[in-house]
Amino acid sequence: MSLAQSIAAATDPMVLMMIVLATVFGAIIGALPGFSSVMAISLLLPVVYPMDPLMGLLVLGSIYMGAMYGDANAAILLNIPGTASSLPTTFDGFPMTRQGRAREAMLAALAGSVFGGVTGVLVLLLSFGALAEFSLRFGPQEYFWLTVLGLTTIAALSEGNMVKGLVGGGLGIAISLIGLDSYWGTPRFTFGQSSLMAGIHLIPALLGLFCVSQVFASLAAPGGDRRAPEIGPQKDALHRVLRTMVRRWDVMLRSSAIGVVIGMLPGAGGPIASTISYNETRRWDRDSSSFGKGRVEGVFASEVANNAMVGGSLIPMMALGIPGNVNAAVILGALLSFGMRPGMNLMTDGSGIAMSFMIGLLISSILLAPLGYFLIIRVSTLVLRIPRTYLAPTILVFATVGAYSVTNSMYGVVIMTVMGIGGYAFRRIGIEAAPIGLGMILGPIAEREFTSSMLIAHAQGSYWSIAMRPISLVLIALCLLSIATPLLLALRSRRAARRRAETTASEQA
Amino acid sequence: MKRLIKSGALAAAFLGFGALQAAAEFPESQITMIVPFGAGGGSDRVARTVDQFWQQETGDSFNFQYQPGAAGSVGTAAIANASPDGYTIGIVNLPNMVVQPVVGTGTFALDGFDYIGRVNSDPIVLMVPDASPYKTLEDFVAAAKEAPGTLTLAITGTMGAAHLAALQMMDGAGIEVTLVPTQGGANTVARIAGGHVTAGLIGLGLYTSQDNGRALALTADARSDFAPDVPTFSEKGISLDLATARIIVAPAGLPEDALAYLRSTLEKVTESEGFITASAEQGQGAIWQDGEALEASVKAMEESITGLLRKYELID
Repeated sequence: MSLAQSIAAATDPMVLMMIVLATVFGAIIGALPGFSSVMAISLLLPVVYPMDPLMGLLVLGSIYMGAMYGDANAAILLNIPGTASSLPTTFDGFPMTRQGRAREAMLAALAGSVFGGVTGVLVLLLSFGALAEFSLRFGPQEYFWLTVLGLTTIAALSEGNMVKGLVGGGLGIAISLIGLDSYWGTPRFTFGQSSLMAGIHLIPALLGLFCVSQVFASLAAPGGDRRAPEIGPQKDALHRVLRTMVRRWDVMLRSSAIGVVIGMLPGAGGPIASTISYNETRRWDRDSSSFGKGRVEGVFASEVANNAMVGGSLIPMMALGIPGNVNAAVILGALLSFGMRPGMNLMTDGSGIAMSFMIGLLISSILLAPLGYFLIIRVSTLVLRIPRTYLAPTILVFATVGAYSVTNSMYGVVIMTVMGIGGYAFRRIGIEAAPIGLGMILGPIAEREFTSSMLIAHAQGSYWSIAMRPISLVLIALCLLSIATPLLLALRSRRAARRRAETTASEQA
Repeated sequence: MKRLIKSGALAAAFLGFGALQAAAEFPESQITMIVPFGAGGGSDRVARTVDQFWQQETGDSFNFQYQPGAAGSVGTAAIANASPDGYTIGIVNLPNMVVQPVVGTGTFALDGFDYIGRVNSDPIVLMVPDASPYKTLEDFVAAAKEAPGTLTLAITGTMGAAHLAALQMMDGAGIEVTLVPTQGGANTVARIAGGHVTAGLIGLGLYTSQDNGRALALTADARSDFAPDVPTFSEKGISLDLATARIIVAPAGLPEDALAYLRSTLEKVTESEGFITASAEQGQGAIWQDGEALEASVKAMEESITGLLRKYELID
């Protein structure tokens, strides 16, 4: 089948309509805290099976793409990440909302998602074989350093109060230890409670930490804060966002590359991609101390990376049959049941379905632009007009349903409530939800990969093997840089302050 | 005349209804299927396939209930605790269901169930990367004997099928290798394909769904149609028969007619051509085993697993 025929198949009106519906559906699911894209696409599997293979695959792929965009809106408007991947979107997105720049932040998230989605799929389309081989070179050692690199974001995030940030991160890791350890099934911190053996499920815990505690915080805020913040004029905002995109092409490209590469690594996933991308953008910025206070580049970094991850996660799935994350795994399941085998032959098997699928995904990511601009952003901004007294209980209802659905029992709701109250209390003493959440997400991965590395090192008889590998060394250097930068910056500003003080003193003298 | 016909028809309808009532057979209402994992997972897909062909056979569909948690042990306990009227059944996997009560993560007992039948079985494959110097199982075993503990073997999770198969292999071949547990089958394949471990154990379905690495041996009584070139462990003189299987169970003490109905219907479903084809597409061999044989093999599995875990000091 020729390229032209593949394009024709992907632009069939019926197929296009399904892409539009699935993308919008994904964006809505992504925006609802507690409802993940994995849930949406696995529930739709039975619906998709009787479809034509191309259409079925595109429905799943478009939901995935849409969800990676939709999650940003809740993060920006409400400080509630729709999925864990958009956690770093809250860092600058929500401050922007507070400053009355919600529209600009949402447009940045949209433009970033489109840019990331398109580059991710283009990389998939053009070079999936070569990159898939590269992804296999990441062993447990590299995964370990990658998660450490993600964890160093805590240092950057909590500038000015590193101790509180580290306490938060440590707390998150400690919470993630509760339950049976992932290796030998040893119960940890379960206090003989059989319900705690199952561990603290991540999704209800994040719902508590971000949704519930945010609802408390917004209700407790003094009267002035209860008024809806200004959203900002649309025309001017779009102009500014597009100008930033062009001016900061470095941010766009770097974030896309990080999203694709981390997406390719099985088990790494969206939260790591967006966190590392945010951290790198901040580090290489001349004015890095203004991040976390409403820099539009922060929103770009996170959203470009988590949409570029979509294409990235499909690279090893399509080339090697090894899905980059759970979403890709579900799509792999569909691929197999349509009788297609992943591998390089997918591109040459004559059916052209793989090519049409990638083109369709490209269409889905481009269509995000009009769908987001004319539909999602408009609907989302209505949220801000809802008085807090109605919005807060509505969010709580959604969060409760989401938490319940994870465990199909009240256990999820209990986790959410406890984490919500705890999260609010910690927020009051200056320990933010973000480092706790990062600790909870990244801690278990770091532990798992460290244990694997140590087991392999022990078998090989050399503990240096955890570090003495080319990719590991690069990652370690980045970690060191990441920890050192805030320290150096702090030192420099202290020295500058001292110099100022000295000059004033000498002037006075 | 018209009226007469009408009342006659009405009477006939009543009579017919009465006859139906008298012969009221199981099932009179919808059967609930408990899936102890999340929607869209492997177990769910198998259960949905059973449901599809159960509908073709009987016209009835299941009411699906998902009770995930603690590697399936939450939902499995829920099946055991349901009322034994035949209207609640569930899908569980072997060997997990056998292991959980043995290691204390399951709050159910194996005789808390009536066994309806096994619907599929997925043998486990020993896979090495393409670049591996080991061409046969003999090469691998010889290398492991030469330097005990230096070869690494990726297994998906602990206390699951791959872990137990690894113990059986070490026990049967008299070798010692370092086990490196991973999170999820895709991760295991990536570790093997990237050469980060010497070898790994994965399901046959997963092995045949991709092109990385080669299989040295397979845990099954006979070679599989899905991979006819791969020898079995027993061919090579190592006793290793552990495979992942999905079975349908109900709480113990079902009425006889309900148990008989469920068993015979499931047998028809599992042996139907459509189910076999659909299972093959999912990389699973639809290998039926009837309830009684299944119960016996579950008991035998319990004994061998307990012995194995004691030997490797994983339980007291």
